Amino acid sequence: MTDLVVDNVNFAYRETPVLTDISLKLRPNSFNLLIGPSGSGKSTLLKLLSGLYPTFSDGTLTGELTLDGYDIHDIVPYQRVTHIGYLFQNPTRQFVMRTPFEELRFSLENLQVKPEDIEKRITTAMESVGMTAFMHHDLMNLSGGEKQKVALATVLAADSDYLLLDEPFANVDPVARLQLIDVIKAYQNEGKTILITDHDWSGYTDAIDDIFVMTAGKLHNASSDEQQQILAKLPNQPAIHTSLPNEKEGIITLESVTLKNGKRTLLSTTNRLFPRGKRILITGPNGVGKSTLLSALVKLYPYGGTITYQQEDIAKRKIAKHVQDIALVFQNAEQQFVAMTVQEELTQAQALSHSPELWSDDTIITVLTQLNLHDLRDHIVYQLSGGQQKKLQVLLMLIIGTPTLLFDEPLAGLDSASQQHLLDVIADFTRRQHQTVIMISHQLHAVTDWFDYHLKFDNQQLNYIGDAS
Amino acid sequence: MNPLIKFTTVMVIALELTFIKSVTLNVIVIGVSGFLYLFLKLNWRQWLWLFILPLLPGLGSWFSLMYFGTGDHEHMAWIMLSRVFAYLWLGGLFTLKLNDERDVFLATLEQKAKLSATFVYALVGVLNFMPAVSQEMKTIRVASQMRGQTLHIWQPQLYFKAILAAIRWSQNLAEGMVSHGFTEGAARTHLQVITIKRRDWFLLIIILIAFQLLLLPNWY
Repeated sequence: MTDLVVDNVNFAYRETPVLTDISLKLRPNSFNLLIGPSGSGKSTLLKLLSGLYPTFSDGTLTGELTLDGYDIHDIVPYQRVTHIGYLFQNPTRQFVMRTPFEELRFSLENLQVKPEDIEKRITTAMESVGMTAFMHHDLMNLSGGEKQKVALATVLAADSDYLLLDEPFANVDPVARLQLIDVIKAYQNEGKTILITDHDWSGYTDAIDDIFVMTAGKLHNASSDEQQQILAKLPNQPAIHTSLPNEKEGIITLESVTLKNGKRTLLSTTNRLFPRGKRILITGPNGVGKSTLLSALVKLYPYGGTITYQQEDIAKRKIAKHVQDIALVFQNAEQQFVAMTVQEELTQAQALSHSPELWSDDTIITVLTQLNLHDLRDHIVYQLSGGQQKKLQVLLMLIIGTPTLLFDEPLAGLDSASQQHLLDVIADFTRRQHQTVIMISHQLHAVTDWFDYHLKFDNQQLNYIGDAS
Repeated sequence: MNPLIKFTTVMVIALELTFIKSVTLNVIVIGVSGFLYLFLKLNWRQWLWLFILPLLPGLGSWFSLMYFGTGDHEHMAWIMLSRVFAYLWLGGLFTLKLNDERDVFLATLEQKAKLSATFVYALVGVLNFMPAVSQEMKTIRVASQMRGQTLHIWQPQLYFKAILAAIRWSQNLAEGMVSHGFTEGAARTHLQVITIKRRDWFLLIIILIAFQLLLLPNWY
């Protein structure tokens, strides 16, 4: 086992310190959890450990960060990766090839694995994450969770001593989550050391040996008491309390709607309505078609049958007009920014708001403070952390105030406090603006009593579940 | 035939065509290419492109030489028209099948032509990115329409966002490649070892010799 030393590490972007005086000791063959609020520096630390930073950032590093006595970022990548494997927070950012097979092959060829072993290692890794059927599929057409599995397979195939995972389950459904946890535990049993950042550790609390807590760029190793406290915070099985809708009319109706991804049927002929002014949750396994359904509702994805909005066939509506009534908060926040700084974004949104009287400067300041974004007004939006971008994006879309808002995993990658704040803000303003909310979420702990209705998307079916009202 | 060998054959012939002023020879090249296309199972669209694409530059030079040229301009006009067709039909033999042979071509460049792996995989990355570009443009437009702002084709903001996306994408690509252990200048192993068949070399030589023989009647 190689020896990873992290001692007195400081990391700063120009004048702004991101990490201060970090020391970290991972016990060999242990399972470690790194927690902390969004934007506290968890991802930055992992990128430093993986050797990608400071090379791929404009920050400066001081302190000792070594592997067997060599500076991590000085080790050539093909050797480094055999010691330290790193899974990005956003798997699409990690992919360089077109299919899972090519992706794994590229990686193993770089690591100079013998040609006769390559195929075997690819198959084993893909089998362990249950994705062999997708070996030669286009990565672009996979769902968020499927991509995550492929990304994990890639780092598993590299067989590194240390495995760094940055929120590996953020877009993964509960079933796949348990599968992936088993895969990671099995990997640990081969003598590997795991470091995982996560906001939700349900399903693997037993596996955790050490917990590290990051607060505003400072790190400490949780004492056993503190560890007990942290682990006790999450209930294991969240129950969602919703009722069945009894509305006869919906703001959106699906009439004999079908969805396909290539040849694969996602949704077989379905009639369903979405009642006006309600909060509707959509859950279901990865790759079942949840995001695709939302894309179809905003005319970004072809579908069969008829979708109507306020009794009007959306196929006949111009897209520019359509999205004035029904907007999607994209999974990738960056796609939705139109300006450079946080302040410019806010000004733009205010000017185009459906309810400008509601969004005074004071209101915005209050909400920004609530979401912990207040000090970031002059920052470039593309340089915010993943969690900060997500919160800003949601706020901007709320300010616009589109009558129907579709959210694709708005809580993924947020710590539980941020999740709660964001849900509060969404609840408050969608109520005041009489908006209809349709949301995909896997973060069920946060939303147990939040929704009116619950749609389950599974086996090509889309059905309301809940108690009869 | 290995795509790199095919590429070399096509390039050598095309280069020679540049110096040969012969309508007959151009027509022979077009004819032979056309004959080969019959075996390549093109769809009607590809045929359409083969006819339409050379038409504009071909007729352009034909008209300018025919009506504004001096000296032996009528002969030159026909040469230029047929030459444009010959170039494109010849090139098509390579490019129209490139989609299927892309991976082999790039692997050959890396393993046989000893091109730097950085260059080859950057190219792979770019080619993989192509289909994402139009989708990204569409998404950018709709995403900003949802923000109440319509970005029109002529608005620089749309391209700014697209360029921004491309820059970020290229950084991601570099970071992604390094995270997969890709190292500039380092050795790599290859799952698929490219061998160029002796038959391919043989074909290359035969075709080039045959082409030189065609030049004997002094058509130029």
